[in-house]
Amino acid sequence: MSKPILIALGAAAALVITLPLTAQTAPKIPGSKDATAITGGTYTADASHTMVVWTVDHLGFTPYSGIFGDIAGTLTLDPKNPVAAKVDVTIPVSKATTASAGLTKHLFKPAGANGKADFFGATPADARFVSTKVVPKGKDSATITGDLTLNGVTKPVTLEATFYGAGKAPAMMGGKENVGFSAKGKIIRSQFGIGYAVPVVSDEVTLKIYAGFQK
Amino acid sequence: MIPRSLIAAATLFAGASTLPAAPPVSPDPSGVAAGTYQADPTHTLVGWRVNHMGFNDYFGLFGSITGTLVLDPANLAASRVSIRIPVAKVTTANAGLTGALLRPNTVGKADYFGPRPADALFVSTKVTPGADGRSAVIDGKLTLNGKTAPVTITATFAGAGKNPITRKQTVGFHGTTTINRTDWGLSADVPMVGTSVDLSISAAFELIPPSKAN
Repeated sequence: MSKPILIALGAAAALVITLPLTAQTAPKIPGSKDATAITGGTYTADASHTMVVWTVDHLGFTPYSGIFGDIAGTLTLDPKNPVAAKVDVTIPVSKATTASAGLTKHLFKPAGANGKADFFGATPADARFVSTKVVPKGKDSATITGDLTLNGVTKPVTLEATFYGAGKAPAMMGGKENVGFSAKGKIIRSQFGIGYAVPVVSDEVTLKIYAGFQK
Repeated sequence: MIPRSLIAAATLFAGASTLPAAPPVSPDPSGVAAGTYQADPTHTLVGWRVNHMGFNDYFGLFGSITGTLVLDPANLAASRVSIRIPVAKVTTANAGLTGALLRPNTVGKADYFGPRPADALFVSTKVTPGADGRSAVIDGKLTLNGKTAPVTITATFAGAGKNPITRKQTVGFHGTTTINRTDWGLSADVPMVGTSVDLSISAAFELIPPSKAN
């Protein structure tokens, strides 16, 4: 290899090594667990990063989980007055996802001759959760009571929510302020008219919610 | 398969006057039959969870999992498990994200699995039964993205019994572990997407009749 090429290679290597250090600082994760980073206002659900994971027990052998995603909605939050927080989210049941194409298909199997579908039927309406009461617990948790409308039935549901993180997204990623939560709850699916295969598939459904809101 | 089994269940129950009061499953691990078991692909899942920008967690699933479990309740330490996970079938609730996980490699940019990922494999190397008689620590090797690294799973017995639909002797477990995805060369979007990945495993195994096990 000729000397000029070696020098060029050496210079290129030096550039590769130094450029990332000088031209840009290492990217830093924008979210922090510091609740004081939350600014008040009305936030919109980040549909691609907000989901409800549901889990049922299958025959007592194993839990089985699927996901509702593409969730839309709003969160109105004043960090100085958390008791006044309000959340209203819409869950497109028709987009429920599982890791089994056959099961997903069964979830949307049309109603039979008796007019009753096994699960959601062919064209399920969106589900909606509207909070009715928020009771703060400690410095980063709250009990959220609300009305869940699912399969045409509205029932109260209680969620235990925990603040996850907040911060401003980098400018190149939109620069929005974000606040995220995780939450847990339980519903009895037969109370919403979805009692198919109970108790072989459990009546109790555990819900785990991963939610991101932006403004 | 779930749909077929549920349809079978519905057919069975349509003829019965009442549904069974409870699933026919024992939470007692002492009744588990020794033998070689096969993973039930429709009821075996690996749920994964990563931190998204410090704002929230993101959850997805691997399903259609196959594999075998060799289990002897009288000698749990001799148990062996071998699992195959079709990474190409990764499931998320967002088509765009699933697309990103399986997108073709981009020059100069770290990626996730790429468009035709090989199946991941987990093979146990050591099983250490817990003192409670219903849990175990499973050490093994996970091959993912062409790299092999050790993984330790904390597993708990969930239930066992005869599946009323398939008539197969079934045993279920739940397992958890945390892996660092960069150990397998999966370094896309670090640190905006966390390197630490929590795995939650639900595994159902069906006993292979001894005449067919050899």
